Amino acid sequence: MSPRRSHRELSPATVQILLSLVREPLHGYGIKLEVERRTEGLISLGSGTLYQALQRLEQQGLIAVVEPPPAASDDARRGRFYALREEGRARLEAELELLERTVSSPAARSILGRGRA
Amino acid sequence: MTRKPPDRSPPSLLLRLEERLFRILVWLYPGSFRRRFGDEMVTFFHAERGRDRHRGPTGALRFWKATLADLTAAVVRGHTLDLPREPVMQLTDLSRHFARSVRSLRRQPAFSIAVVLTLTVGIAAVLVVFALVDAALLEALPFADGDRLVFVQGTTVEDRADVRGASVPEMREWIEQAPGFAGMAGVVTPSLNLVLEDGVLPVPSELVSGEFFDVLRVAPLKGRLLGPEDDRVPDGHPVVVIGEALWEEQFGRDPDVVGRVARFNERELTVVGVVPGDFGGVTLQAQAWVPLAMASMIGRDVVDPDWGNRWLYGIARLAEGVSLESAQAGLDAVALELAERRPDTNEGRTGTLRAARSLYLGTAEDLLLVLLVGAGGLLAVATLNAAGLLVVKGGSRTDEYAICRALGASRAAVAGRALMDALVLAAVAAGLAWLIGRWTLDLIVAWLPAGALPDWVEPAIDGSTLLVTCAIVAVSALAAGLIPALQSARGDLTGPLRDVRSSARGAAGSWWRSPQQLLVVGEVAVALVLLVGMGLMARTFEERLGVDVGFEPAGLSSARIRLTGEIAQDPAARTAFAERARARVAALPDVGAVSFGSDVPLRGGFSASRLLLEPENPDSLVRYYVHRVAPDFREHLGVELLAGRDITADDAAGAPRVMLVGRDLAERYLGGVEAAIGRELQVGREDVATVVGVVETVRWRDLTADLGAGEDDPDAYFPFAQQPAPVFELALRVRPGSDADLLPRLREAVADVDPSAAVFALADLEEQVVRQTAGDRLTVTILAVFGAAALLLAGVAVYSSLTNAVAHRRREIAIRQALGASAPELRQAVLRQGAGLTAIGALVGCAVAFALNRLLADLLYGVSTLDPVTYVAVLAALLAVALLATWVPALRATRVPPQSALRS
Repeated sequence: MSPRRSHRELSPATVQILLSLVREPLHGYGIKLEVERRTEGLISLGSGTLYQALQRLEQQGLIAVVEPPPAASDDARRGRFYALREEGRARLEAELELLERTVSSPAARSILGRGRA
Repeated sequence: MTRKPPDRSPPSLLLRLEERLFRILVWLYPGSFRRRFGDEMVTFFHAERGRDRHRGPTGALRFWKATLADLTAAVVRGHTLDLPREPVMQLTDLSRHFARSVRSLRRQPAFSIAVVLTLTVGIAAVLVVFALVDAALLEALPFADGDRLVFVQGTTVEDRADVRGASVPEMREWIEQAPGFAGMAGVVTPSLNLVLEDGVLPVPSELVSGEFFDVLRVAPLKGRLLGPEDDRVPDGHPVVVIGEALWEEQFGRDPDVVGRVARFNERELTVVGVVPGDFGGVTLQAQAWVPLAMASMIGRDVVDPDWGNRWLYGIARLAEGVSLESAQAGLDAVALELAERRPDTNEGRTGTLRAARSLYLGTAEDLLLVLLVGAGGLLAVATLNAAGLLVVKGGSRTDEYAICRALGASRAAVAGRALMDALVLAAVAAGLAWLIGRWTLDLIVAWLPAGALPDWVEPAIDGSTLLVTCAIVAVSALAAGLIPALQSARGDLTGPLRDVRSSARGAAGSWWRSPQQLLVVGEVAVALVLLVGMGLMARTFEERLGVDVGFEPAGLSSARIRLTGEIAQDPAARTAFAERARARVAALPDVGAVSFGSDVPLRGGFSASRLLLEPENPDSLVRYYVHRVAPDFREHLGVELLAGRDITADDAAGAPRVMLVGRDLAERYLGGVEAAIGRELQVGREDVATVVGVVETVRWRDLTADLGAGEDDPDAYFPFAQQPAPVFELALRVRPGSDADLLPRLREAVADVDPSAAVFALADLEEQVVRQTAGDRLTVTILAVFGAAALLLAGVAVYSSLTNAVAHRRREIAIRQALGASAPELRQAVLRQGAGLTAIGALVGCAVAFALNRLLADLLYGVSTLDPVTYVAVLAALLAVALLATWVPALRATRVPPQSALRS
């Protein structure tokens, strides 16, 4: 059975996960907290969804498991740490460029402009 | 503020059980995924479960709901979308098994329908209650991160349930000193009169300190919001922020509204901003926000050198990682230090925190949790019932299974068939339950009177509720199918099939070896526990609803009048106005008698004060509620006079101070109704009033105060003329059917007397009673339905068990008949078996009920956890149902024709 989504497309949750790994490697729960913080609670990843996404990203070669960074607390070390690979960074860049083009289009601007003083 | 160190205490038993459950659920994922990520998921579980928002029973519910929803979706996704290397379930095989089950179940419609209906009852109950619980307890509040908001109320250290206001300097101290908060603001919530060209419009408003909009994290729609710079100089900040609805209705959505001036309560305020329509302040319906510094607009003084005027309360946001308990401890410490610095005003005082959601929901929170437990219990009964039916059916299929086994099928495959039957039936039941559940939920929402639930509660069966229900249904189906599955797998292959048949069903006398009869006993036990719990709650509600309100609400309405301007300043003018307004309103067609008073029952607006039972003796302090009433008010409301006399027109300004007391005050503090007459009580710094009459206790405040709350303070009544208030209530008897344009006509009539008076908040008191008791009445009704369903299911269980027993023991019965047993003897044998099953189930149930009902103790009112009436009633009902259930099988036993039974 082939995966339902084509390789080209990243789901919003996947984009959020990859974004969380841009600055430093994180463990699973750290990724969840970062996504929650960035989206102000709108996207709240459950363990099943998160780790399935991480598995897919690993299989696609976009992230990899790494050694825990020295700054991590003992508690955090208990889980695996994930880092963005070069391919992942490139995919994320492509996806964000697409999003940026969409958001700066005139149609989008007119929607985002409404309701402001 | 330092962060708390991570909690290193050993995990509680409950947490370990939860982890165990989570690990079991993780097992449902595909093998490879589970092996790779299982441990990480358990670490994730602990991290998430330990967060603040998942504390307490509501938090646990919220956590498990999210976890189950995520898990169900992910498990399904994992098994269907990914390339399985070692699949746990093979899809094509699954669909074959599914089709086979459907075919065989369709051939036994009566049985299938019975199981489906049984499970539907349980699932529908859980679905409806969970949708309500979700909407009220788990969904987000209409604020940013609303579950971190808490209300701060002044109280005393010795009785934290006794909440009153805080003083302005006290609140300022708390705001600046209390640790554990990411902001706190003072609030008071009056109604302000917006002066229009053609009259006065009352606008629900909030006077707020500078921190308010920061605490609530609101962004303006236009202009700016109030900040600390608007709260510096008393009376020096004539500005207002308005709501979108007010902007629309009174300012025509003027794009240049910022900078316009509006007159509120005779003051000119400049509009500085507009808030979006979905923000209603802490009252959820405010349309104007004014700086607290402008409190003179409502007759309050923000400068309070004595620290004695307590009219403020607070709204605060808990800091990240801080629990309500630790924030409360921090606040108490600040209050204690304050009490040491200012013992004369702050001795024994502190602030109490209450989660915003909890305050908005009131008793609804507890009621919903009770309903959830009840629904869960009903599902348990239904599952046991279904299991029983499946066992019986499984018993009649043993030969089929034996043949399968003989042909080479493994035990697992045969067991799987039985499980698949259960899953198919459960799936059909779930679909039916969803339909019934939606319909029932709509019915409940339509039935609830407006205002019974807060506006932001919108019950609906949404995606995650369905996912969680699917998970529950799957568990229930597996539980129901487990015993039949085990039974089928265990089936003996050797020996003639006839022997297999009888041994699988349990020989006469050794009933305890029969799984089906064990299930019946279990079901009766669970049903009993459920019924006792519900019975106790029903008695509690009966007590609460049965308390006499003390007055006659039928046909009684009330409207609030606020005086502003010159008339408000002069006490004599206030009284004169009240009398003239009363006369003018009474002259309206459709309006009968009219009276007035500082407040009316169930409509809020009450004020509390202190009196001394013995003048000059500070130890005789009693807290009570003050009411200033017109001479005919008591009679008008239908409150009984128990002793002495009523207030009369002679008790005017300048006449000796008199008062009436309620029965509760007389009995608690004055030695009884008769002894209270003539007592002199000190009601002010130098004022002494004589008690001239005692009236029946009236339920002035919320009819359904928090379950488990203690006694309220008593009430006393003073002549309006001796202390007239600028805000008071008209109480009018209205002819039914005249409500439609009553408010405009009232306003017209009152404006005739004085145009600066605002009339608002017209309410029907009978409706108030209905609305405030709606939650209780709904819960009792739902519990009654659950109870009846549980009884019915238990009866069905007993019935089917006995029918099964009779059907399979025809030979034995026939032999007995041939040996001379009479019909009554045979009937009694069946009855004895039925009674025996029920009795054992009841005993087990009672034991469990004794143990569990201690948990209910906090919610009960007027009835103890071991209330004999409830237990006896439940036992009697169960016995009656059981006897009824044994009647038909008993009759059938006597109708077995001996020859045919012996021949078979």
